[in-house]
Amino acid sequence: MLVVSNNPLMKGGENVEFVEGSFRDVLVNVRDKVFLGYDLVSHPLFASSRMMFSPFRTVILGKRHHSSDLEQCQVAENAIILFEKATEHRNGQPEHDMGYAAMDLRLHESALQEISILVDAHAI
Amino acid sequence: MRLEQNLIYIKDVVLGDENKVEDGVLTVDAEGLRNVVLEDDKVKDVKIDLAKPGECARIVPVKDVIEPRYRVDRANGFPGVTTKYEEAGNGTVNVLKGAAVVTIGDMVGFQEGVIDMWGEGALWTPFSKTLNIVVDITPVDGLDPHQHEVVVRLAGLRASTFVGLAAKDAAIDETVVYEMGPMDKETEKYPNLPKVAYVEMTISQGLLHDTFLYGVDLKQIIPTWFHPNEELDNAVISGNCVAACDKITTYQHQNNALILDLYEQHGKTINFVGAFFAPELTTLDGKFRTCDYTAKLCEQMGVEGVIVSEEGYGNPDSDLVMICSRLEKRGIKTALVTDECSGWDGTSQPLTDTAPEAVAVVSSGNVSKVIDLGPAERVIGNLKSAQTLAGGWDGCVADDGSIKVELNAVIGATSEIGYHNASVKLY
Repeated sequence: MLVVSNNPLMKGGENVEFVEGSFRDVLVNVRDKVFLGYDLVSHPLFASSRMMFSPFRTVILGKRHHSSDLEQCQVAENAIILFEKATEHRNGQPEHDMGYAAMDLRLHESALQEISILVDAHAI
Repeated sequence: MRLEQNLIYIKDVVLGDENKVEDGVLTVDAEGLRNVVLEDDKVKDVKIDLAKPGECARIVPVKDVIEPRYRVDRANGFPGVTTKYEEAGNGTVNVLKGAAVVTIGDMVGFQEGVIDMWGEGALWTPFSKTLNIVVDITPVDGLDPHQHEVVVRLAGLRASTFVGLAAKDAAIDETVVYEMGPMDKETEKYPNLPKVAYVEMTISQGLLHDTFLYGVDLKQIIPTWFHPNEELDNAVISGNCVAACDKITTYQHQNNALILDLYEQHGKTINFVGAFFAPELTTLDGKFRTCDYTAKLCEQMGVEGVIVSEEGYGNPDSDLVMICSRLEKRGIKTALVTDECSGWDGTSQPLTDTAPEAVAVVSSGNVSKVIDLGPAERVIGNLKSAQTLAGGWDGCVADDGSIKVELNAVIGATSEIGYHNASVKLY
């Protein structure tokens, strides 16, 4: 399992590849890795409108295979397109950064719970 | 199952010292309501306020909206959550129609969720038309956001049940019956009508992104069959506080517009055979499992047509189109209800995912549409939240205090179960 994140609360964590950059930079990093054959384990986007304006994102990837999965490539690419569209007029709101960081961490923890058996079985 | 709803039409609401309805005027025992909320020792303080249609008042940030009711000769509340479990969907409930309990909970600084009772904002939210009993809950210090969310969620449910006591002996204006038997019996009655089911997708992903059925966290389930009456009878509650425009509030679960419309057509154009919950999970594996399972259940039940509603946008778009593809490939006609994120001009790709099978799609609105909200004379809730509503683009706050916001910020503006005001105009 590989975790790609720009969330400062994730920095230094186990299996974390820290991205010095934006939410979009995380999406691009994830997209590139999925194109190289990494499994996309968690969806790159959040599920709610407000979280689209989070400066931070944490995405879980799995094992790397010899070839890439077309469906996962489309998910990773489309995530960038929708993210850009949803945030095209937005500037940051630094006063909320740590709130967003905490939410991203909580939702990441929920995602880990969702796949805990797979992790224990080394299936991802 | 047979659910009888006795509707009591509320024309006005006042605060007083007892719960009662007289001539359409709901009196709420303000001190009693405070005490019910304060039963939880994690609540430090509570403020009760009223907001009526047409008032120049803004409520923000809204946590949940709940319809006050009294369940006759049954556990009074929300089964499995505020009362011991009992099956919902059978029996009688008295409903204070036109009244709503609105909870305010500022759990995270960036939370949005506004109800304007007047002007442009009022056009977009269905809760500008309800007589709102606003419950502003301050928890004790030191709670983490998870605990805070639980405290406010349960306080809102208790508050709505307390207000609902006014319906116990009130004069009933109208009775509506929702009745549906087992699928084979309904099919015997309507052998020539197509069997249609409803698939309700729910955000089920963690803190401020959760939904509960009889108190069971839906991210813990695989898709399951339920009787529509259960949802109309307090079995489903919202724990979802971030996606203001398209979250399904508890009130909207209690009055799920798709269920009501499908009931309306039952026996006329369709044989409405029931409903499924399909939780929107975070992982792709979870999404594949949910979507396969949903399609399989529909096929096993012999369903010929399905209406699917989404909650939220972003990663749930993947679930939506995958469910559609899987159903259509099984020969089951599928219609989708979703909002779209099409940019300020409304011309961009609306969803993150597409599928060739998704040809019958109903849009409930563009979450990116920009509207102007005038300055409020009175802000109920957190003034700071009101100031940050517009959230982060240049020139969004005018000198007179009016703000530009995207529909994102408005409660229920693009509800994907159809309980909202946006509609289509042909030119």
